[in-house]
Amino acid sequence: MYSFPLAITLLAAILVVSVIVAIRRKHLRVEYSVAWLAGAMLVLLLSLPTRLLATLGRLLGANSPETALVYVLIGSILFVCFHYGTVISRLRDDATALAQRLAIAELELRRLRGER
Amino acid sequence: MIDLRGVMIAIPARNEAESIGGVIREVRDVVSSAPILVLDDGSVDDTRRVAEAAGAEVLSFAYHLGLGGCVQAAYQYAFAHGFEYVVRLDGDGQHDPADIPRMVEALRATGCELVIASRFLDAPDRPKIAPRLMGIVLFRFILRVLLGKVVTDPTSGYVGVNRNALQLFSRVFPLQYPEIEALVVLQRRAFRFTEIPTSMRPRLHGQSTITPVRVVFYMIHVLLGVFVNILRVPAFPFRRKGK
Repeated sequence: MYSFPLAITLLAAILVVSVIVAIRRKHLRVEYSVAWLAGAMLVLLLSLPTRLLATLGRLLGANSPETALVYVLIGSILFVCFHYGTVISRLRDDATALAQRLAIAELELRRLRGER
Repeated sequence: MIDLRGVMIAIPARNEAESIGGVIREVRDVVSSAPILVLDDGSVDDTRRVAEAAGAEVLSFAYHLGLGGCVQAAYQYAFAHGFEYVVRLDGDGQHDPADIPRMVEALRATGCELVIASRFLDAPDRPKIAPRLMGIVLFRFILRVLLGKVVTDPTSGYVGVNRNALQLFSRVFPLQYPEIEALVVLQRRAFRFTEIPTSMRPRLHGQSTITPVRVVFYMIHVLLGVFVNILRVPAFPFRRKGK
């Protein structure tokens, strides 16, 4: 059975705890924590003393559990980046729409006040 | 004499305090009755104050939205206020306002949703920056394939639109570099556009922000935007009768 590096297990555990603390302190909204939690939980799951990582490595075509772990980490990071890309895009669109409406409302207000 | 009732003039401007007053006065000389709306895209100079002093109304944005975001706000405003046509020209003085009546007339006479004032239709002005010329040639080719029609000046910022286009662009408009993507948005709805000739003048003041690196970035961005637009919209969902 493959022995998972303790440092990776600790890192994943710290990440899970950090995300939960950030949610409790309202530094992070629940919907934006999902990607981080999913990635960290996956790494934690793989760190359990099972054959999971070795099996996953074979499925992914990795020649060692360490390589499989790198695959999983890269995949998790790409997933998190993509998720935040979509979030940022939506926020940018929302901010643009708000700025447009604000500019139009300000002009209407100036006109109503007789400033224009 | 061309009837210019129902026409609004939109002038995007960012840090154009030195030139915007002159542009507004020139436009006023040509179309005295049309409201002029300056789109102040987060200027840090006196653009807004100068524009208001010259008699324009100003949409002042809280931060730098980018050209597409500004222009879409002007279209939203014009559509909400019942304008029939909007002509957009740059705030740096490069576009000659004397063409405005001809653009409105072209929209009326052809029934097209959009008219482009082209630098290359009759007078073969050539871009001075090689990558920019390369971009124009590339986009001419792509648009010819996609639209089945030659667009001689696809990057022109001197355009007029009618109320159909205002309604569409109020909802769907490219937010960064709008000129080329807007043509694809129009085409996907079976709307039509045409070109009329114009000639560019030198900037009244300041330097152009266009550099070779920005041109390359622009080309990549617009190429992506064009293909995303093709993928996003079902082909011709709103084809109008009689077209």
